[in-house]
Order: sequence, then structure tokens, then C-alpha cells
Amino acid sequence: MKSTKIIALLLVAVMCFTMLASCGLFKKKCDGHIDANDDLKCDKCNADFDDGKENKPGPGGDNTPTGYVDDGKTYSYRMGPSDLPDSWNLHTYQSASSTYVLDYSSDALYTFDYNDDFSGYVIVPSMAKDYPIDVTSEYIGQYGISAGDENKAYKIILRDDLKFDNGATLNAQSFVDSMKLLLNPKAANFRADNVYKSGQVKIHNAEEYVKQNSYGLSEFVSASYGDDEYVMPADFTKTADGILQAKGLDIVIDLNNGGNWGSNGLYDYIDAYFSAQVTNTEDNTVEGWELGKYLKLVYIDSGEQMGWRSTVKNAEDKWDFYDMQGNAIEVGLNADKTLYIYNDKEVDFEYVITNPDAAALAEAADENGWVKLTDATLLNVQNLIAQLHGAANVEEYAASAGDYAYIEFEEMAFLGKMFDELNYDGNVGFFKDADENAIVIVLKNPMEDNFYLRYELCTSFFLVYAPLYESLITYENGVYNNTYGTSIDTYVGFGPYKLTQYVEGASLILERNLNWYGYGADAYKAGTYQTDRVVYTKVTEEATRLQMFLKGELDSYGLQPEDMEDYLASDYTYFNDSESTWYLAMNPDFKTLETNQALATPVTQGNTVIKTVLSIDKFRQALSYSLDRSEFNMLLSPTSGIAKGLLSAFIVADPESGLTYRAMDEAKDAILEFWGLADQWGEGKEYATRDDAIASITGYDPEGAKALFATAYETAVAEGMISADLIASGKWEVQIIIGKPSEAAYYNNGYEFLMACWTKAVEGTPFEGHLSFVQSATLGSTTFGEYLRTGKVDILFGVGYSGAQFDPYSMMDCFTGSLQYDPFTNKNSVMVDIEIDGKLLRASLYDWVSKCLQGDEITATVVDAEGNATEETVKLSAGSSDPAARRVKILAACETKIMTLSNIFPVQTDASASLRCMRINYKTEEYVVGMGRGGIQYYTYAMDDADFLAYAAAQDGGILNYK
Amino acid sequence: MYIFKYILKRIALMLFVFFVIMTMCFVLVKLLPNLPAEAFGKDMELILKRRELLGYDLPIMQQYGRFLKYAVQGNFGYGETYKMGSEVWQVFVNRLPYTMVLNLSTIVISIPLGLALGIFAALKKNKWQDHLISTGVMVFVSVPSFIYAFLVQYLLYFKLGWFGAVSDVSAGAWSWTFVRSAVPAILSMSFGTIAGFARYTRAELTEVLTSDFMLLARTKGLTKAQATVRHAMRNAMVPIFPMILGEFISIMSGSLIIEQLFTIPGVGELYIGAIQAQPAPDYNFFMLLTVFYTFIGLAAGIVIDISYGIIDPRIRMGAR
Repeated sequence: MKSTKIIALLLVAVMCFTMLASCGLFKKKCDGHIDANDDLKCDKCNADFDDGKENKPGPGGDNTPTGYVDDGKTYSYRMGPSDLPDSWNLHTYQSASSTYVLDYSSDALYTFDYNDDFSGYVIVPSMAKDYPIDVTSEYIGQYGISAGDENKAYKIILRDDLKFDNGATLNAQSFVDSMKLLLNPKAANFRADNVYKSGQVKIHNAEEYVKQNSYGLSEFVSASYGDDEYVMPADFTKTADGILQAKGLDIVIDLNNGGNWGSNGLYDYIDAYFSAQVTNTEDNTVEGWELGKYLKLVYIDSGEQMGWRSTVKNAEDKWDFYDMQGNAIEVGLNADKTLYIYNDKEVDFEYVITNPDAAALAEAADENGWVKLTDATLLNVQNLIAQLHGAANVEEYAASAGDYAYIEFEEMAFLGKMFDELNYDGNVGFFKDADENAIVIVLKNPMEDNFYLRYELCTSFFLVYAPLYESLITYENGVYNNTYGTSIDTYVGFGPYKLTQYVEGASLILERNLNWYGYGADAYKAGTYQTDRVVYTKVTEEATRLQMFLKGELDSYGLQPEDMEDYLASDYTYFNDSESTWYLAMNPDFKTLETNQALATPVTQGNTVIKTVLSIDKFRQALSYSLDRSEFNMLLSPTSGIAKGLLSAFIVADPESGLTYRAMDEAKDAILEFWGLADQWGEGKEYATRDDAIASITGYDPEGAKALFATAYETAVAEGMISADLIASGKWEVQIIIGKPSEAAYYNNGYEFLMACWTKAVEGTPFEGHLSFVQSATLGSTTFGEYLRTGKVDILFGVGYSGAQFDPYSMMDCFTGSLQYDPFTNKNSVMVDIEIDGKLLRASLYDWVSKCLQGDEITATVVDAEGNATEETVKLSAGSSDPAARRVKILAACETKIMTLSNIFPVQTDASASLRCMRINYKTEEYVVGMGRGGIQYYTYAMDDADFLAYAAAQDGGILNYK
Repeated sequence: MYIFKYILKRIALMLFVFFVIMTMCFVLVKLLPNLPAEAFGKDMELILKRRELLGYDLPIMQQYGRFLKYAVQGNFGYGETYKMGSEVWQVFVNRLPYTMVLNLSTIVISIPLGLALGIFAALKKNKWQDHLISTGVMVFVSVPSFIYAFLVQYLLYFKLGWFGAVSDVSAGAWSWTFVRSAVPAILSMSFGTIAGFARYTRAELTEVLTSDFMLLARTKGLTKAQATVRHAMRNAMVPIFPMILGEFISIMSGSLIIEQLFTIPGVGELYIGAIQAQPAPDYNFFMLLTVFYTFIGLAAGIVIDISYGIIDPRIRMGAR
């Protein structure tokens, strides 16, 4: 009996052991799994990885073995963003969170991948079989292609094993069907313009197709301002109604849209340049600024608050209006406009466009703000543009600018036309090749098969599963709607992952899509796509997100400023730069400052306000040098670094080689020149290399700043900005209005910091006790720049321009072109000398940046050894087809010049930091432009989901230690 | 008879007020400026064309007529700037159950606990039990629920690991999985409600317990328990019951912060989301939610008023 019990107990023990063993509970775990910096270190783990492999059915569910092999475990990449996508229809999506689905469930013709040694990127075919083939010559006489044209039509052969994630075949016809749906005229899809306006790849007749049967506008000249695109007014034709036409189309000015000058319309420029100040003649204080057509009034309340109202007041005689130059403006009355000013005074006032040319255009505009130009309105436009250049009229402007004065308006003009009905087939330059599984793209403008073309083709090209898409279209009361991409049932993807679960507002899961060709036997790259699932759970609070991360439930966590103390030194902390740099922008314009100064209310009663010292470059430099950027960053954005140049280290100057701009000697020299270290590096000097010298720059030199303040004071006194009487009385203050774009803590805390920092900086200088600060009212996150441009604030901080990672050349245009990041400098009069091909060439800053670097040919003057201009001139351009070295040289010289103007100072890099989950290994520790650290494609896991959760639970308090 | 006339009159007035509020909301929201088309950085003609198709350029009253025409058919359109392309009504209906389960669970916990604590405190008036409960009540009434929510989450999830940080919605709203995972959220919402009920019940019951008729009841030979349950409670419930009814009606209104914190896809965030949508508010979502909650609020007022008469027949609604 006893032996029976023993046998039974043994049997039970064996069974239990077998069960537990089969559940993997006795599997040895390896601590090496979670090393911060190594890949899977342990042989056992690698063996586990290789064990139990099972060939899954191939793409499409056939019996072809896949290249990808399942190891039987589940690896989920789990994220907790604060928002989840509502819609991910490639034709209409507007929210950045849509990419949470699209990034994983879609694919592109070409894609970025690491180069051979994982030090850079290459663009490789993905859905395409090979690179684009120029077939322009095959379509002469069709799609607007003429004999001799090149680089206008490309054939892209597709892989034959493409499928949607539902198993349906994906071929060239799918692309064409999708393009037709994108350009559906009835849909007016939000992203339709990506193929004719927003992107660089502009498809022939795409715009004409989507706008058929409507009157529409197209740009007069392209963004590259090609010389051959301008038309002299003498060549304009005229309709019977007197409407001027060029290229057979109406010439139209949109008062609300500046065309290639940017989204600001002509009116906005008028507002910016001709806005009027409102003063109270009783006490001669500034009540505000009346902003042109918007009928806004910006006002100051007791010198402490500033704001604006959107309705307009009337005028009693006691109100005077002045333009920015201090000239009186006559105003009338308009009974239906009422304005309330802060002190509840009410006066009737009529808004009048005081500029006769602007008034004439306003009169001629239709309800859309469009003016079809006639001889008279053309002259109005030309005159206005001349006035923006400081001339009285176009004739005066032409004296300095030549014929350009008469055609400059074409950069912001449109050609209007009635778009005729158009069949897609045979007209739109996106169609299926007749002979093979290939698409043919016919471009509106020629484009070489270089990085930029392939980069543009690294998009999913608006591919949708047409049968489902079409079934979801509804028309109600003539309104088109489509629910495609709003749920699992209304979406079919075509990427490495498939959407399998979506709870709106809560979570979504994407799982491996074995119909994707990339898992196929001939396409799968060993070691990639270990991630089985991508899981997004909405987590609104940072605190919750951190808790989940520490419990092993999330695989990434973006560090917040308050986390930096704990995790700054962590082995798991990774820093990521971005394209942006944050600047300090100042108003150096004497006239504006002088006008504002006369009307300003002092912070300390009885003081006289001095603002004009800001026009002294030494004063502005002193403000910059006295800003402790390191402390500033620590307070406001601990992940940011000290910006030493205008362009970030993230910007690629030569996309063909992937070389970043800041890594180039020219770019380094630009920094050294600006910070005064150009001749302090080299053999026997303070710094051995450029890099050493740059590394020494902190941007903070309080003693140097004090010296600059002292110099600025002497200048101010010498030039009468601060009179002897004032000095004797001691009752004066240099008042600086600092703009606040939004209520974000960054701006409020930043204001406090700057105020304290600069107050301390002037201690021991003649400005001690004489600096005062006013924080503006909230200016609006999209409109704050306008307040600096019009001199309504003196300083803005946190100003940046993200531009494009692969195109710093067009990005630099933000300082010289229509975006007016430096609005006070006449970029046509600032000359820059650059040595090119052995000759020192001189041209204006505007010509170098806004023309030459954009691909337009400019005429530069050769400068002799003494620095004098000679008679010799050289024509040159530096566009994307020109040598990269030339472009970089020009870019660096212009960056230096813009910085030395001392209107804009680099302050912060835009960087973020995140914690890497300890079970995940990145492909590269260093951030590689274009590839990051490998992304989902290259992430590898040291533990599967279950093991990792168990590991986390086993830690002290169930919390992982990332410190 | 009076009551029916009264109800009919109240319903007619409610419909009138409902119409006025709806009209005002529609007009006011339509008066908000649209973001200029060019500010999208896209082809403004496409945006203008879309707006034209949507009727945004029509006179507001014409747009309102169009809205009413479809709204009475239950068609509130599709999301334009918020949850783009999604059917507005469908999104709302999909989210409503989560809010209802959350609020229902909260009420199921709160009513008995709140009443019990209130009664107990009233019976132990001015004793240490009463002081303890009253102090707790003051704390929970005063502190906003999202404060508890953070504490509850930290304690129950992060420190003790009894519940997840966020709710599990994989099995839908009407599932034990969701209810269990939502316990921290339910608790967070319950504290304030329990405290509210307890305070109100205590106050009412304390007053009633000192009434003359209670003395009469005791002198008639009823025990304290009998007198309390049969007489005091019934009288005290007259003002308390409508409060409970109000809580039930609020089942369909979301709690923005609690829902957000625990990732419960309820209706709470829809309103804010619709108004804050970029680049412009979503009129369709805004109007549906406005219509819905206005109606619920007005209907609740009638139901609560009528309930007084039912609880206490001495209150004759509509009687002259």
C-alpha cells in the first residue's frame, strides 16, 4: 500500500514537472538579455531564437515558405501615446497620429535603409523592382512632352508579389485606381494637392483633373523663380473686358494668398508695412496699433498688459493715427464698426485703407479676395511692391531694380482659368504601362533621377484598396464622404503589419502581415522584423506612462524635463536631435524703436523710456552673450543642447552622400567665425582642431557681455539716444517687450529667466537698474512672428523653423525670403563675398540665398584682392543639380552673414530624450540620419512579452530600474 | 388630471427651450471664424470647394435648416476636423456604453454606501463616529476626483499591482473584463459621490429625527429603529431621491478627466475634442453632443420635478 502511494506520488510529480516544463517555467533566464548596449549576448538565448522554427505559409496563403521564420514567441512593441488616430485614410488624414497606423501598415515604392556599414542611409527599391527609368522619349507628343524633353516621364516597374493585407493582388492598376480616387473632383481630398502642389513630384494634369469644371488658380511662376517663367507686361494680352492674360490665362492677384511669397497675401504685407499706430493725443501714450484690413487694435493697458480686439472703434477728434514712420494718417467714420478700448472709451471710427494702391485693389477684389488684373490694377500691384522695397512707386523702384520691378509681382500672382472637363485616361500623367506591371509617372516639371526624386517616391503614393474604398463613398446632399480608414473593417493595408484591433479612443494593435512581400523567401532580410505586433495604448498622463514603462508594459518613454534629474545619466537614455533650432530674434530697426519709444508707457512711473539702444548691434550681442544657454536649457528644455549655428546638426547638406551640414568644414567655419574663434584653432593655437574650438563654445560670456554693454552705452550716449539730462536725473529705462506666443510654461518661465538673467547681466554696467521688461499678451502660436516684424514686440525667443531635413538651402530662405525671419535687414543691400572656383564673388545676401541656392542663375561681381568690385561678372547658380560643394560654401557664408547681422541668435537645439526599454536593442547606438537607430525593422528583443513582464514583476517592487 | 396637464405643459416648454438652446448654439458656433483656407498650407481651392459642398458659405439660417432636416432623421453627418470621415452618431453610440457602465458602477457603489454612512452619521450625531464621517466627507467633497484618481492609480496599479494602469476595453463595455479593469476609475469617481450622498442624507435625516412627529412616533411605542425607518427615512428621502435620480440621469454624461486618465473611451472627451479640434472646431460633433446633453438635461428636470409628487403624494404638481 505504501509503495503504491509512493508510485502515485512519483507519477504526480513527473506529470507536474512535465506540465511545468512544457509551460517553460523552468527555462533558465539569462541576465545578459537585458544588457543596455549589447545585442542578444547569450548562446542560450540565440539558441532559443533559432529553436522551434516553423515555416509559415507564404504571402497570399499559398504553400511557399516565407523567408521570415516564427520562433513561437510574441514580441510586441508597445507604445503609449497621448492620442490615437481617428482616421488614416491616405487621401484625407490630417492628424500626425494617423501615422501610427500608416507607418506600419503601408509601404512605398522606395524606402530608406542602412548603407553597408550602417553609418548612413541609402534609398532602395521596396514595392518597386528597380529604380525609375526615364521614358520621356517614348511619350513625345503626349502628356505635354515635347521633343528634346528629358526627365519628365519615368517608368517604375513593380514587384510581382505585391498584395494587400487581405490577400488581394496589388499591381500597377491598383496604383492607378488609387490615384484616380485621390484626384476625384467630387471628393476635393485634402491631400490631393500633394501630387501637384505640396510635393516636389508634380504630376502632369493632376491639378487640371481635380479642379475640372471650376475656375481655379495656378502659380504664375514656380517656386524656383526660373528666369524663363517671367513674362514682361508688354507681352501680356488683354481680353475684351480688359483682363490681362499671360500664357493664355487670366492674371490674378489673391489678396489673401501670396503665392510663392508664402501664405501671407498681399494684404498681409500691406498690413505689416503700413499698419498704423493709435495714440491718445491727450497724454501722447500708445493705445495700440490698428492693423489694416483685419480691423484689429492692439492695445497696452497701463503698460502692463497687451491684447487686441477684433472689432474696431470709431474716431473722435482726440484720436490720432500714425503709420510706422510716425506720419499722421487721416481716418474717417464707419457707423457699423465699433471698437472698445481697454478703458471702455467708445469712439466711432472708420477704417480706411490709407494707401491708394491698396484701396484700389480692395475695391477691385471679388468676394474671394481675387483681383483679375487690368492695366490699372496691375500698376497698383507694382506700386505696392515697390513701396514694400522702400520706393515711392514702380518707376522709382525700377531705377534700382530694372525690369524686375515690373515683373516681381508675378512671384505672388496666379494664372486663373476655367478648368475644363478632363478624362483621366490619356490626360493625367499617372498610368499603367501598357506592357508590364509598371506605372508611368509624367511630371509637370522635369526632375532628374536623383535623391530628391527617389525621396519623394518614398511615400505610399496614396494607395488604397479601391473596391472597399469605393463601397464606402457616400453622397448626401451633394456632399462627398468616405469612411475609409476609420476602423478595421474600413481599411486594407499593404505594409509589414496589419491592423487587427482598434478601439477608438483607447487602443490599436497591428500584427505581422504575412501577405507583405517583405516576409517572402526572396525578400526577407534575416534579422529584421522580429517585432510581431505593434501595440498602441492611449495614455494621456506622462506620470501614468512612466509608471507603465517602469513596470515593463511599454517599450519606450519620452523623458520630460522633470525626469531628467533621475534619468539624464541613465545608460538607457537616448537623445534625438531634430531639424529645428530655436533662436532669439530681436528688433534692430531704429525707426520703429524710436516711434515706439516716444509712445511707450514706462514700467517705473516718471521714467523716460529708451528703446532705440536695441538698434545698437553691440547691445544686442551683449544680450546674447549674457544669456546662460546651459541654464536656460536646463530650466526650459533639459534635452536641448546649445545651438551654435542657425542650422541644426540634423540637417543633411548633401543627400546623395548623406553628409550632414554641420559635419562639413565650411559649416564649422561659419560657427567659428560667428563666435570669434576663426583664428584660434590649429597648430600651436588654443584649440587643436575646429571641433575642439566649437566644443568650447558655450554662448555665455558674462564679462564679454558687460564690456559690450559698456560699449553700447557709450554709443547710445554719443548718438544722443540717452541724453545728458536723463543720465543726470537717472530716470530712464531701456524697456524691452518680450513676446509670448502662447501660454505654455516654456514662454512664461523663459520670460522670467530672461528678465532675471539680463537684469543681473547689466550689474556693474551703466545699464544697471535701467533695464525694464514687459511681457506681451499671448500673441498666438501662428501669428507671433508678425508682431516682431511689425515692431510690436522687441524680442522673441523660442523662434524656430523646422524646414526640411534634406534641404537646408530652401530652409535658409526663411531668413531672406518671404517668411521674413529677419524682416529688418534689406537683404538686397547686404553684400556677401564668397570664393568660388578661385574667384572672390560678390552678390547680395538675397541673391545668394533666395535665388542662387534655389537654382536660379545670378550675376555676381568679381572682387579683387583689395576687396574692390571689378567690372568682371560671373553668372552662376547653386541649385540641386549644381555641385554640392558650391552649395555648401554659399550656404555657410550666408549663415555666417545672417548671424553676424546680430538680429537673430542661435540659442537651443530642438532635441528630445527617451528611455529605451531594456529588452530592446537598437541596430545602431548612434543616430543615423534617415534611419534613426533602425526603427521597428531592426529592433531586436532580448525577451518576449511574457518573459519580460515576468522579469519586471520579479524586480524589487515590480519596478524596473532605469536609473 | 392636474399632473398630466402639468407634464404636457412642461414637455411643451422643454421642447421650446430645447429649440432655443439648439438654435443659439448652432448660430454661435457658426459665427466662430473658420481658419483661413490658406492657413492649412494646402491647396486652398480644394479646402474652399469642400467647404462650399458642406454648405459653409450658405447663410447661417439656411445651414441651420439643413442641419435640422438631417438631425430629425438622426443623421448628424460625418466628422470633418475631428475623427474625420467617421459617422458622428456612430462614434457617439460606440462610446456611450463605456460612460454608462462607468457611471452606473459608480452609482451602484455610491448610493448604498453614501446613504448608509449618512444614516449612520445622523444616528450618531455629534459622536466621534459622526465627526469621523463628516471629516471624511468634507475631504472627499472638497478634493476634486482627479486627485483621488492619481492616488488610486498610483496605489492600486503602481504600488500594489492589483489593477492595470488603464482600462481593458478589448472585450467591450458590457463585459466583466472592462468593469474589473475600471475599478480604479470607478473608485475615483465614487469617493465624491459617496461623500455627497452621505452629507446630504445626514443633514436631512438629522433634521427629521428631531421633528415632533418622530417624538410622537416614539411615544406611540415604536422603537427607534422602527421610527427611523418608517417615518424619518421616508421624509428624509423626499429631497434625497431626486438627487439619486439626478445621478442616474448623469449616467450618460462623461467624466473627462477620469476617462482620460484611465483610457476609457467614453463620451467625456468628445465634447472637448470637438471644440478643440484643429484646424477648426468640428461642428457636427459639437452639435450632436449639444443636442443630446441639452435634451437629457431638460428631460431630467421634468423627471425630477415629477418624482417629488410620486415620493410624497402631498406634493401636488400643477395643482391650483
